[in-house]
This record gives sequence, structure tokens and C-alpha cells, in this order.
Amino acid sequence: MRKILAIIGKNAKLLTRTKSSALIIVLGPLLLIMLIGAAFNTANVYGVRIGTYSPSYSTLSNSLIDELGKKRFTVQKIESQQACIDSIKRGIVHVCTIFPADLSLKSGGDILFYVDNSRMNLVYMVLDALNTVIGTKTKEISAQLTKNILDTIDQVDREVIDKNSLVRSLATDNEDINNRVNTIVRNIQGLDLEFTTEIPGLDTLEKIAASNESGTEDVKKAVDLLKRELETIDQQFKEMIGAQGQVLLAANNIKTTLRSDFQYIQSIDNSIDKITAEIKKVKTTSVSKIVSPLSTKIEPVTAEKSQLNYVFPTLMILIVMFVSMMLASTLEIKEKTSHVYLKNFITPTSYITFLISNFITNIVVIIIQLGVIFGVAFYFFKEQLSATIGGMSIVLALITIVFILLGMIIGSIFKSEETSTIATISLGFIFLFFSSSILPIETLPILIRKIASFNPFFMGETLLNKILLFQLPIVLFIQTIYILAGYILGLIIILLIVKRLTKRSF
Amino acid sequence: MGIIEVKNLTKRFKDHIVLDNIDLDVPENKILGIIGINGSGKTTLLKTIIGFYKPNKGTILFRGKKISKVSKKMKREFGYMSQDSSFYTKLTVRENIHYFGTLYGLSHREVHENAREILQLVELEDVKNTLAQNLSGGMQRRLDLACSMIHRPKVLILDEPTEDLDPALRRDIVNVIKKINKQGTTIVITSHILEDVENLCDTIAILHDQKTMHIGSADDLRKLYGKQEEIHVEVASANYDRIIQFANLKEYEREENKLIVYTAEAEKTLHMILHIIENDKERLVYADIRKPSLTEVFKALTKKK
Repeated sequence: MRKILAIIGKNAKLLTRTKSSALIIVLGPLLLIMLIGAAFNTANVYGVRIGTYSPSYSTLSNSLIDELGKKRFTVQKIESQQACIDSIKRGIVHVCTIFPADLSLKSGGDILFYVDNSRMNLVYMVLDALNTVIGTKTKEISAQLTKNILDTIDQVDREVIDKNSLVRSLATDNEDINNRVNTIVRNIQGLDLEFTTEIPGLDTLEKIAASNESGTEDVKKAVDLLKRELETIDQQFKEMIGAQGQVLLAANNIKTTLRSDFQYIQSIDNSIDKITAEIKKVKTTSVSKIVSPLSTKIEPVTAEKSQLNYVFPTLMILIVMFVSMMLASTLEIKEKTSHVYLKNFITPTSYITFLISNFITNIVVIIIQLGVIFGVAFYFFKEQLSATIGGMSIVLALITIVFILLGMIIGSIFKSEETSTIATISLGFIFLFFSSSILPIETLPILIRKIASFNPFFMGETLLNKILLFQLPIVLFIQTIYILAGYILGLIIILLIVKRLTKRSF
Repeated sequence: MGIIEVKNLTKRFKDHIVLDNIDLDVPENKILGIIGINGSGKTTLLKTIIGFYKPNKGTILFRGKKISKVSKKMKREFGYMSQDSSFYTKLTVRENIHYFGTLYGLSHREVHENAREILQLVELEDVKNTLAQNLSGGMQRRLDLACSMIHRPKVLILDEPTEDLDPALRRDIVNVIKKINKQGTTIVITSHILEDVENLCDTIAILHDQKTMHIGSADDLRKLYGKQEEIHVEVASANYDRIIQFANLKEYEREENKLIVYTAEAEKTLHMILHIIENDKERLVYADIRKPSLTEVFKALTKKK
């Protein structure tokens, strides 16, 4: 245990007694944490630009655009769908939103989002924000639609309740008419309509008349009979007249009832028309439309590709960055700390010759590595690479030179291999964190984002993305190329100054 | 006037003075040895001569021209071999020699010709295609030497070339250095091993307390301290108090069981010592008079100071 402690103590002393080691070991991680902490201590997404296009903007689409504007997005209306898609490719906008012409609930149609799949981390964040906006709107609309339906049902309900008494009256009337008709039937059925032509006594009268016999009694009897018969008939007629009166009365009653019933029926008919009209007012009847009135669809700006396509540019830049910086710094520091340094120093060879030689060595190694990577990559996306190899080579050359120069500067500044390695890795991580590889650069506060947009790693990654995935010509990014060229010039000057200052001559 | 003249050279690192008003002439075609205890500034002096360190004061002239403004042409006149092996271990012997030859601006033909001759000189022809890391210690020193002189420098500066080598390998290196010198190369050498310096050097400079104490040949130094011959005496009891007292010895030292007396009158003093031993009836084990070796001269000198 004592030995272990002694060794640990010795290591600690060795590390802390070298100023640069102590500085980089203690302050390096602190600086990294501070920088990254300050930069990413937010849940917001800043400066996301959304392009929109619609053949004809409707109230609904405009209201959605307004909502997006309220969410800190910069919304930009673009003149055509293709121009909108091209804007993503060129990095002018991050997402392109295509609204169908005259977007309305009735017309329906999908709201189309075009996204750059190579920046999935940003895409997901932006889509999440967009979906929040559209989701809120969707909920509002859905609630409105449901309210409309409920209002209609309410109105129908009130109308039905209102007309319910009429229906009951109709039923009562119907019962009444039924009773009256029954009475009429009974009355008519009860009428004695049996008349006989064989009036008793009439034969007697005929015989008397024929015999001219006297038979007064018989005539008398016959006349009585006739009288009675006639009385009966009279009675029958009287009854019939009575029945007729009743029938007429009943018929009149029925007529009256029917007249009022007709009004009821008309009123009910009106109600039905009204209900139908109310129901017809509910324009959205599709369940899916009510539940989700606005539907969205996500499309990549490029033809569907494998994930390898999307990560390839980042992968390339990552390899170029770490290999270039590590290799260059290691070569520098190894040479500097080597016993041969002195022997090299006293030769009539200027330090610039050594710098150029080291630089070319680094370049050759990186070219070999990139050659291997490209060789493998050709197997996966031959056509894409063939079409863009020129532009990609220029970008990779510039980026490689930038990182090699940075590595050479680090190697020249630090005095030991371990501190140089830590410094290189730390710088690499800073570049990596302040790019869009881990978290989108848009999550950084505006000022830091502006600075980070000049991060050579970010610049290279963006350029390669545009060139490889979108097949855009390099001339479109001439400004970035100039910036990288400026970096190279600046770094060469810094390297020469650092070399002069740190030359091991006292 | 030497090929290299060091005048009033002062070099300090921050407040620590390493060289203080050094004056030194390096004679052409000769071997100059610089000796001194550790930290006496030998390496600093060499590195200042080759232009790696800038002097704080004083000048260094090469053939009368200031070295501080080292031109490419002047750099070609110097070869330097440091204490540590300064070549690339992952390169072969030939590759190392060719590399340094090219850095010295030699043409392809010159590199080949010089390499062939130098490999012969340092006896590394048979291993020219061997990786430097696979060479023995002695071979590595010779390779280092070869790399330092591929451009045929006028002055070869060697910082402790025989350090850490066994006597046989040291002898090899010494022989090679002699051969190089015979070809007309001026050599400046530092070493702790004064025997080597004594064997090799025409002139010896002693650095002590940041200054050059003495410059001269080994014989000159001996002559300078010839008055100080050494009497080595050993008696069985190892008690020398009476001898010191009665012989009135001024400069002496006890080394193990031995007494070493420094005196200009060695025979007279030895006679006196032997007389005291006889009177005291001590048993004499050993008695001798020696001329001081360079080591002893150096010891005496640095001790005196």
C-alpha cells in the first residue's frame, strides 16, 4: 500500500509540477464543462428557420404560420415547393412546411414537412416543436368540431322535446277519431233497414177490392196493419235520420280533428327539416377528421437512404479531425522531445523545411486513410461518391489542412506528449460539441451559435452533407471555402509565430 | 588563433550562472578536451558553441566570424554528437546516415560516397541495413558519430562520447575519434573519463566554478602540478598521526588505509616518512612516489579551489 501511495504521489507531483500538464489536466476538463454547460444549459431551440409554401394560403394555414412565429421560429414564405426544398439543401431553412392549397378542415389534405434526414437530431427537435403547435391547433379544432356536434344534438333534442306534445296530441286525436268511427259504425250497424213489400192487410184489401164484398172489419184490420207498418217504417226513417245526424256530427268532428292534426304534422315536418338542416350543418362527419382534424406527413428532402449515408459526412470529418490533429501534434512533440532534435537543429535546415516536411507527412498519411475510407465507401454508395468526388476532395483537403495545422500548433506549444494529447482531445471535443453532431447547433444561444458556426468541424460537416447528400455544387458554398482558406492562412502565421517563440534555442 | 575562439562567454539560465567569462581557444586540427565535474557547464559550453544556446555575454568566433549569427554555411562546418543517442532507432544505419547527409545539403552522390567512407571508418559497413535499435551500445555510439560527420565537418563536437561504455567499447570509440582527427577534423570533446581525455586530447581545458581554470596539454598540466608529486604510503596500523606531525605534512589525504602526501620534494619527504616509520617500529606495507595522473591533477586542482 505504501508503495502504491508513493507511486501515486510521484505521479501527481510529476503531473502538477509541469505547468502545462497541470493547466491542461486541471483546467482542461473544467473549461470543457464550463463551455459546454454554458452553451447547452437550455431546452430551447434558437434560430430555427422554417420555410413554408402553399399554392394558396388559407386562414387556417396562415393561423398555423402565426402560431409557428410565436414559437420563436423564423417563418419564411417561399415561392415554390421546389425552392423550399432547395432551401433546406442549402441550409437556408431547416424544415420546409407545405400546406395544401386552401387548407381547410373540409378540404383536408396533409401538411407536408420536408426535412434533412442527415440532421435527424435537429429534425426531431423541430418536428417536436412543430407538432406541438399543430397539435395544439388540432386539439382546438377537434374541440370545436365536437362542440358543433354536441350543439346540434342539443338543438335536435330541444326540437324533439318541443314537438313531443304534438305527437302525443296526434295520438290522442287518433284515438278519438277511432272512437268516433267506431260509434258511427255501431250506429249504422244498428239501423233496421229491413223493409217488406208484403204489408199485412194489403192482400185483404186487394181481395176486398176484387170481391167488392163487404168486409169492413177486414179492411179496418188491414188499414191498421198498414198504419202500423208505416209507423214502423217511419220510425225506421226517423232512426236513420238520427243516425245520419250523428254520423255527420262525427264526420265533422273528425274533419276538425284531422285539420288540427295536419297542422301538427306540418309542424313536425318543419322540425324534421330543421333537424336535418342542423345535422347538415355539421360539415365534418368523418371520425378521423374529428379526432385529428389536421394530419401531417414527413418527407426527406433526398430520396430515402440508409443511415450510413447520413452519418458518412460526419464520420469523415470526425476521422479527419481527430487523426489529423493527433497525428500532427504527436509528430511535432515526438520530434521536439527526441534526442535527435538537437542534431536536426544544428543542420543547415530551416525550421520551415521541417514544418513543411511534417505537414506533407501528415497530409500523405491522411490521404492514405481517406483513400481506404473512400474505397470502402464506394462499395456502399458508388454513384453518389462518383458524382461528388471533386467537391468532396476540395472540402476534405481544406479541412484536413486546417486540422493538421491546429495539431502542429498544439504539438509546438506543449512540452510533453501526454499534455499535447490531452489538449488535442479536449480541442477535438470542443469542436465536436459545438457542431451539430451531438446536439444541434441551433440549441446554442445566439451568440455562441454564431461563434460555433465558424467551427471548422461544423463547417466541414455541413459542406460534406450538402455536397454528398444533396449533390449541390461546391460553388454555392464559396464563402465557407474562403473562410476555411482564411483559417489556413491564419493558422500558418500562428504556427510560424509559435515555432519561433517555442524554438528550443535560448 | 584557434579555429574557434570563445571570448568572455557568460551563459545563465534565469539567475543561475552556468558559464562565467569563459575564454577558450580551440586549435585547428587538434583535439581539445573539456573536463569538469558534473554541472560545471561542459554541455552548455558545447551547445553554445554550436549555436543552440545564445550567450548572455561574450562572443564565439569561428575562423574569426561570430557564431551567434549562425549561417547555413557555418552550420555545415560543425558536427555534433550529444550525450544521448541522437539518431532514429527505427531507421537503419544507412537510412540514418543518408537522412542527416541530406539535411546537411549534400548531393545524392556525396551522401553515398561519404556514407561509404564513414561506414568504413566507424566499422559499421556490415550492419548498414540493420535497424539502429538493434545495434549494440558501442555500435550505436559509432552510428551517432557517423551521423555527426556525414557532411565532413571542420569541427566535430562530442559530448561525452564514451559515457556508459565498457572499456573495450570506449577504446573502439577513442580509436575512431583519433582516426577522424587524423583526417584533419578539429575535435572538441567532453568526458568524465579523464583517462580517455588524456589519451585523446592535445589540449585540455578544465572547467570549474563556471570558469576555465586551466588550459594546456596533459603534460603541461602535470608540469604545472609536477611540484605536487604524490607519495603513497601504507603502514600496518594505518595510524598516520605521528607521521603527519613529525614530517610536518601540509597537503595530504587519507584514502582507506593509505596516506597520500602531495609535495614538491617527494624524495626528501619520503625519506623523512620512512625514518619516522622505522623509529616508531611500524610495519611498512607499501611506499611509492607517483607523478600525478590527469585524474589526480583534476582532483587536486578542483580540491584546491
